[in-house]
Amino acid sequence: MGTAIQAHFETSRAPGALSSMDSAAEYLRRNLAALLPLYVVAMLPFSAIMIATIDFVTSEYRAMTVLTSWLLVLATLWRWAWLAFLQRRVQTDIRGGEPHRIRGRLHSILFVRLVASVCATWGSFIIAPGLYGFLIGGMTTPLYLEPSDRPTAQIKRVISWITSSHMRLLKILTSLGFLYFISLICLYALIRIVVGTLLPSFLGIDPSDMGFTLSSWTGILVVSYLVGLIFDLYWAVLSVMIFYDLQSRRLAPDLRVRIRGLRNSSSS
Amino acid sequence: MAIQRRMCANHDNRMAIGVCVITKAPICAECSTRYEGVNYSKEGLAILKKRRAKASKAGMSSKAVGYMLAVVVSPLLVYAHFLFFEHTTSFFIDLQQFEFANWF
Ligand SMILES: [Zn+2]
Repeated sequence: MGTAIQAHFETSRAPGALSSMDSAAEYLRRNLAALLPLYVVAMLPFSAIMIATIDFVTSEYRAMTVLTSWLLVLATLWRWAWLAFLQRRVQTDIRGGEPHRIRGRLHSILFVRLVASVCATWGSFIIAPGLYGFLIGGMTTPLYLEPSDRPTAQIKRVISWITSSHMRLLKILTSLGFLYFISLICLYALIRIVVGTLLPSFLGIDPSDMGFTLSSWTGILVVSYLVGLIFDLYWAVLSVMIFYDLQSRRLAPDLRVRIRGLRNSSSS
Repeated sequence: MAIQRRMCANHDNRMAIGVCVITKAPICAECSTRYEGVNYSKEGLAILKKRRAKASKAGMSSKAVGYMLAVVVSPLLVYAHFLFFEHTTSFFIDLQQFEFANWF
């Protein structure tokens, strides 16, 4: 009996570091129709202001940067609030049962996201706070919606989970970054081929007319942003998966110790 | 091992049915109060009440301090975000001087 339980735990530890990436991709594929409306609502204001900002950047319209930056801050808060609803859906699907209540917890979620995001942006100059901020930002919603008497203690626990699984998490983050750059390069190559050779030779369109989409700053920034959106949605799902993955990895050794204790007490 | 016969701390003539989990005094059935599955003497229960009140007060005040801190810190955090967006935008405007675009 004991060995059967232990064997189960040995195999449940087996999945590699990237297994949560697979399950996030699979989940996203199955539930895209349900998640997309929430994501569009979350990102619409941010994207509109972002595209305007990119336009001001490429036209070197410096006077607008103060206004667009404040608007981006507001759109970021809006984005986090709606991503909380999106992540709640993922969380409910993972753990089953009724969805957790968001009301009364949203302000805490937004506050922790603010702190985590300052770490992820300004803190990334010294790398480690940036990584912690990025990871905690993604896991804030599942963390705060999970019933717990003291969320501050929970945050401490998550920080210790991150520290103890840092190799696993670094693997995930580097793969994500790698995938992002690969997809950017592929997309640029595709655009170049289409605009540079296919359009003029098959359709007789002069590429210099649409050259701006190819090699101008606007084109590069907009394409990078749009590809970034796909990864942002993926990360919103993936971070919930990582939250539960870390939790189970943390709990599994505890369970093993308890099972060992049970076996010892019954044999003596 | 001989069974130790103990008398209630308040009643010399009554057998103790257990000890108070807080004061450790032996108590009889009349003197003991069962609360949350364990036995308390009257004194023990009073001490428990005091401890609970103190803990909840400390919890309340630490919560209040937390909220105050959040209210003070939040505008600074929002401003830090504004600075980040503003610096990033300016950085990209400056970056264009390098004519990076021609490399693609
Ligand atoms: Zn008594």
